[in-house]
Amino acid sequence: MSVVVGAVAPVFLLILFGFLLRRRGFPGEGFWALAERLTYFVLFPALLAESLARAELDGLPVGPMAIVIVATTLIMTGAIALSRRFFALSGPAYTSVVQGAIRFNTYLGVAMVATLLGPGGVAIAALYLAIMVPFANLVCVWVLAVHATEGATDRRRVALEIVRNPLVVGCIAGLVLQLVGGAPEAFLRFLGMLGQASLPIGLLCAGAGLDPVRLVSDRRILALAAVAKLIAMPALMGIACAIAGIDGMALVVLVLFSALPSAPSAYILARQMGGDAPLMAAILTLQTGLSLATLPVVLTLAGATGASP
Amino acid sequence: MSAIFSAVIPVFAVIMLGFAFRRAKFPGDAFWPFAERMNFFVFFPALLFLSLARTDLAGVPLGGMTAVILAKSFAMTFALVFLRVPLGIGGPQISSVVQGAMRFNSYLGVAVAGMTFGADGLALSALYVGIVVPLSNVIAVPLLAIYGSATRPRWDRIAWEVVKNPLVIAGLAGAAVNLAGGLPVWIDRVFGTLGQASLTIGLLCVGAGLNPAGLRSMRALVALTTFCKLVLLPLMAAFFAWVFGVDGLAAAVLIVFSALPAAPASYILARQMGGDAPLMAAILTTETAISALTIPIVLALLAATGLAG
Repeated sequence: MSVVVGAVAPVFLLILFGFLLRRRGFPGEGFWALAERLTYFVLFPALLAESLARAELDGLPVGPMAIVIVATTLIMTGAIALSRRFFALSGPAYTSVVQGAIRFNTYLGVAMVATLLGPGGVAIAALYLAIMVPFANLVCVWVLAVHATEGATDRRRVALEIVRNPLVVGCIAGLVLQLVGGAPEAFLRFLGMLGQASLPIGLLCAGAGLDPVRLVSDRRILALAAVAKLIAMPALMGIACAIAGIDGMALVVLVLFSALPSAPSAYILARQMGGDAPLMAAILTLQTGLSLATLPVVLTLAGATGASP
Repeated sequence: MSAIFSAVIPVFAVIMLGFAFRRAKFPGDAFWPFAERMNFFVFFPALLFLSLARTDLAGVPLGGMTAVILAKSFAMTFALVFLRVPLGIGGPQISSVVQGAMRFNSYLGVAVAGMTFGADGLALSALYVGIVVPLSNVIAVPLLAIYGSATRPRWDRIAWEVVKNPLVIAGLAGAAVNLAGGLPVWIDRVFGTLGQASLTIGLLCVGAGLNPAGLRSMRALVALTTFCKLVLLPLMAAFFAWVFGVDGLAAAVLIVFSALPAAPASYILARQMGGDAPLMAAILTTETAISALTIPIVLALLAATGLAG
């Protein structure tokens, strides 16, 4: 419980802090859009490239994990596509719900796994991230490229948007560095120095973009995004693991990461690619707040059915 | 040696990136003043606060450090003021020369010390900043007021400027929390996450503030100031550290911080208070560029003499 509060409360407070700063006009109205651009084109790609390049993946079982990750993500995306008509989601709103349902706050997951499971858990988390981060970015950018602007979709344009996307480029760069066996330490630290600013600035930007009215007016959509992410996704992952025969510490890590609230990168991506950014900010805030209650339950269930953490 | 380069290269690479961004108008010209405000009032105070709150300061020679800082500052200031007439340096110019020979770029210092000396180095850097910020205000403001062309100094105003400085407040609050026994983990993480953005944004802003266009004139004064700052001041710091018996990591931090280029804030101060602003800009740019060579030399000498490394 205290592990969850220790990890989640700061994230929630920083979103709130961003909201208050914007309300008080600090440091100035022009700051936020420019900070988002910097985060999108520089800070997040650097973070993705560094962490994927540094991940230590030797000797871990990639196959079964990759299958459950890809399967659960696609099933969830499909389920939201099916529920789109029922919830009368516009194109941009649909992209925000998808991002809310499949993206996750890496920082929260790593902080909790490190405290609860130690180095063994962190190694499994690294593998999860090496698979899921590029895949989630790919799916989100693809969904945004197709649905954020209404009208006919040109396949060539969608493909170009995906290939040129800074987050996708960051992931590919990191995976390439991982495959070639790393990069000079000075270069990785340079990336690290840029990347370390992405979490605080991303969270503050998401808070600055929060419109409390949307928390009330979009409550049906928000409920969908919250249930999909905080309850359905970990349940789905639990079932997938049971089918694939994954248990022990790997099960705990997979289920925990599936149960994490969405990430500030979702907000930044929505802003840059024409998603419903205020809805995304509302989803992020609500999910983060609710996860204070749901994560302890998920951890108990995963710990009870899997290895004792 | 490679440890020094992998600590220093990323720092200067981020500065160069900031310079390139400013030239390319990315993410937009309006970004930089906002980012500086954000850093001065939020990110950097968070970093200083936490560094001082977290670390065990029991064995730190606070008195010795203060004595060394005062001694080298007065020695340098008096040397320059006495040399003013023989060297034919004008009134507004001397204030810029003194600022250029005395003030330092805290972002650069904390980044280098943190990368090279780890968490203890970071805490000592925070302490250094906490000691020097009030001192340098007290020294620089009357100098500008006496030798610059603006109004006379008022001591009550100076005192108020020092007390309401966010860096001073953060330093004092951090030391108080340290004495009171530390912070709960979630509050620690709030400040830790905010502080993560500080060096990134600070170094980008340093690069954005560089201006090589103004380097054509005033070569002799710029060279004199740069020599005083990057060579003479660290030697003075080493000498006075020896005199006052400060050794180990504390001495290393004193010397590294004396070897830093001046901060962009000195340009703003020079412009506001009637100093020679173009000269200040030329000094800043020259010192920052040359320090990329001299700081690794200083670090190598420190490692060779066994003070730190």
